[in-house]
Amino acid sequence: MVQIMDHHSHSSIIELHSRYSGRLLGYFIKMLDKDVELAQDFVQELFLKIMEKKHLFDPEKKFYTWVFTIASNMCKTSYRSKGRSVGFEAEKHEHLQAQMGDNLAEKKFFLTALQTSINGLDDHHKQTFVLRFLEQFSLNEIADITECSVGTVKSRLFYSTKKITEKLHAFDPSFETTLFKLT
Amino acid sequence: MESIDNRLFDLLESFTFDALNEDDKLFVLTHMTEQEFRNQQKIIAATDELEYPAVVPLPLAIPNKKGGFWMAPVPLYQLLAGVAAAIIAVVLLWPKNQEGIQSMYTLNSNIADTVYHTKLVHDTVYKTEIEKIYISKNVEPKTVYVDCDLSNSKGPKRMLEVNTNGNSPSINPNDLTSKTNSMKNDETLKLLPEARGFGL
Repeated sequence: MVQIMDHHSHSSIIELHSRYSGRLLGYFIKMLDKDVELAQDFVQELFLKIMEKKHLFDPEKKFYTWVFTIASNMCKTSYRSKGRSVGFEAEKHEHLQAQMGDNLAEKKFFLTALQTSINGLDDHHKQTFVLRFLEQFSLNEIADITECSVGTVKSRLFYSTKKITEKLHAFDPSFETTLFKLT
Repeated sequence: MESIDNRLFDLLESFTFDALNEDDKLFVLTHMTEQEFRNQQKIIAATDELEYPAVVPLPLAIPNKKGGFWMAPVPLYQLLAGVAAAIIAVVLLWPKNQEGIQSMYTLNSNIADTVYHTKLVHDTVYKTEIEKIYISKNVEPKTVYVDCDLSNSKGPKRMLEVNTNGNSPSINPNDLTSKTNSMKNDETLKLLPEARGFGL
């Protein structure tokens, strides 16, 4: 479908948009700190890039890995231009605890802290972590998207997990309390 | 270092700590504690609990590009190929036969090197004088009679060798006298004062 796409025929690009826009939007939301409007703009911009650079697509490779490569590069460019806000706001814990009660507040706070820790990773570590554990891509697919080896992907995943664990160590060594349990 | 991380990650994703064999447990405990191994597995599991907004993508807005063919974007590789083709065409079509050019200029070299003076500088004056020759209608060529004996093998004699005793007109003394008046006895001489200086 990418091969038959040209400037005069928009039906093919519309079909590709219907197939992949949902997943790409979810990926952009995870990568852009839940900024929905920015993620919508990125999806539009990404498909315009596909129309302009369709000649760069290698038919021997999978289309969605190529699309996610473009998406990852867009996120990387966005990080460099805007910077990232990294910080774990401890005061939110008390606010949530007051609103939701101890159980849910504790869990909610933990998940918020986890999200913040993921956002605090380096570009390539965060990209690899999100693609593996949030988007459920295989190691080989992540290697194609990030244009590196499978060994490098595993190394980055191990490093990311280790870093997040160290940041959340303040909660509880076992990340479980009497109030909630992780699945 | 990467191989150690790779093996540890494979164990993290595949087995719980209790399900590891002795060699794998020994390998894990060499690089981290049991609690750290378990915590990392929980972090990986906790990612399933993360919540993100469920949003429907907006319809794709394809811009209308006016201009048609001339406004269409040209890929960089096509642009470079077009420039290279233009350069090659110029090189191939450029006249390489310099002799032809030279011969052309040689043919017209005279014209190129010749200086045409529109103004003539005259340093020699040719003056044509018409000499009038009066020719009388009745002209009898002088006839010279030469007494010669044609039978003589030596040819006719020259004028100086001509026999002077030949026939010649006789001279009458009466013919020698003047039959008219001299100009000095002319009565009209008085009218010419200029002539008086000449002893006339």
